[in-house]
Amino acid sequence: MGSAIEVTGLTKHFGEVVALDGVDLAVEEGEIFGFLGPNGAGKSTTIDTLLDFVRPTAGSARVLGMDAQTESLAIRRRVGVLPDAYRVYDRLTGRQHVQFAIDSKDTDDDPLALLERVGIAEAADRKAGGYSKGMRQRLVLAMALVGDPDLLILDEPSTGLDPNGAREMRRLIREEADRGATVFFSSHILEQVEAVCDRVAILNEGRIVTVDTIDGLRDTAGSGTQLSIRVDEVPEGVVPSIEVLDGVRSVTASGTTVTVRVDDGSKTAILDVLESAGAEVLDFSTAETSLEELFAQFTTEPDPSATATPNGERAHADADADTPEVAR
Amino acid sequence: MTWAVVARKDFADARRSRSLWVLSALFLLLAVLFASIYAFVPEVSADPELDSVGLLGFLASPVALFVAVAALVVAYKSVAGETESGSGKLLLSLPNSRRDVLLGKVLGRTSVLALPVLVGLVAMLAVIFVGDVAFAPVDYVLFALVTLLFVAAYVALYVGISASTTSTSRAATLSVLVLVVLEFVWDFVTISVWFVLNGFRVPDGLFTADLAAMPELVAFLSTLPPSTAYMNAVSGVLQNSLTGAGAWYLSNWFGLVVLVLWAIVPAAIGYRRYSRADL
Repeated sequence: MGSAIEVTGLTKHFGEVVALDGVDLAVEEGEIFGFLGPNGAGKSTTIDTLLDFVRPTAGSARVLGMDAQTESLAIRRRVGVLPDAYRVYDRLTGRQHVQFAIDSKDTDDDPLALLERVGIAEAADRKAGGYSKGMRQRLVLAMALVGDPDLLILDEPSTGLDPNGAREMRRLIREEADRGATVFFSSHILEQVEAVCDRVAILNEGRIVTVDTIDGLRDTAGSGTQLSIRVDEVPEGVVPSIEVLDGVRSVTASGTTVTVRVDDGSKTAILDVLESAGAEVLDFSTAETSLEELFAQFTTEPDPSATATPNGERAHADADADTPEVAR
Repeated sequence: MTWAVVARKDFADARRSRSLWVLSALFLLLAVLFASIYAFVPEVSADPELDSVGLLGFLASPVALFVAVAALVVAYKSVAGETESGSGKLLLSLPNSRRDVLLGKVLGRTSVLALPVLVGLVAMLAVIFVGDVAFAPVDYVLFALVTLLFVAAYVALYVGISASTTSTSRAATLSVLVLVVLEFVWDFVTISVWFVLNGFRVPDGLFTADLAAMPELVAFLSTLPPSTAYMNAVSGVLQNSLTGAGAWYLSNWFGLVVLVLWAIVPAAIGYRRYSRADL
């Protein structure tokens, strides 16, 4: 199996701003690959580079074995694209849009059949300027499906779609993958990726922070525990002294709550540090880390104003209850 | 090579815009009005015999100004507008090269403006027959062809400007600037050059714009704006005297060459910038 997308050391500067900083990525043929990251992480810049909208400052990108810059036209003949921040032609009908894609690709698809597939056949002869955001998204998806592309590049495909539309989008993505197409799609929302992807890459601030299967990510996520400790007052300088403890991955403090992610290790030690710094522990809870939190952790810098909300199973305990962790 | 596909899409899109209909109505009005003045107001035409050749000579100047302004309206947003709005992403996600886009835009927008011009010329035939103006069909067709070349030259100029930037407001500013310089300030430029070449002394014939007294370089400069080139080409075609007097580059047929250059050079410069831009 070759690589459908192969990105090596991709770097892009826009003036002083570093949008991409040495991105390496390989998407195998036939897989559904999720490209995750918060808004502004560089997902669209990466995609723009694959399509030669943007030229890299350093590094290179290959798509379907061809160079993204010198062989862009040949690439675009075999790729279907749903870009982000696009605009449709307000004065052209849905059918005319799809027909334009068909003529550009020189295929003999039936525009109406494609519009049928994305569920807007009844609006085929209306001007796209009057379409809702969701209908436009479906229209451009229909354009992307023209010519049964070997690779679909979908930038935030669920934008503007209601939950039902998002589900249909996932169904279409699976259908295309079953046909043998590679699907590469970006999202800033984990759950959309979670449901369909074979593998995901997480991009943050222009760097790939992890590439893994969803199961692999779950394993990583499941191994950690999150402690939320409510105190009367967070003592100054206590965060660094917790960070150096064994097994502690991250510490954040917000208001009167200290949140600590630990692999295992002694939770008592953490409480000891807090109390010896002069804080009174009022409340205390632990939770398994969810995939959501893991994503948040990969993509947020330690920020004292932000705490992850545990939504895994809560093991709640009062500070003066006789759970072993709190026993002093 | 999908420039024809892009051109067709572009024409289909622009065809539905209100500005095209406004332009068509304006040009129709202009053509019929000037034709009627020529045909029915003898003091204006000053020709003893009314014929269509005289009419077209009379018409060339207002047509030139109309096309210069209308082409700006039709073309300044053509490329920059797509880049700015994001519809350019649809265009270039498909297997259309940036060269296809530029060529398609020139062709599409030229068609958009050619349509009202041709409609106006056809409508004028009515005035010609009603006003009992002698009709020379060959000259009429030649005039139409030269006018189409002129339309293409101005549209390509503005499309080139539009391709050289990613901001429609900058494209608009540049286009207006170029229009003002070429259509309204150019005489001042040539006169200044003449003044400088004459050792900063007012040369004879400066204020009478006496072409015979002009040094050839200055005369050449004065023939460079698209409108002047168009007028020269029109009078050459209509009078069957493409050669004219003086240096070869001052002859009427050179007006055709200048028009072709206007149709190619700015668009080529715009393409260079467009092909290197991050969109």
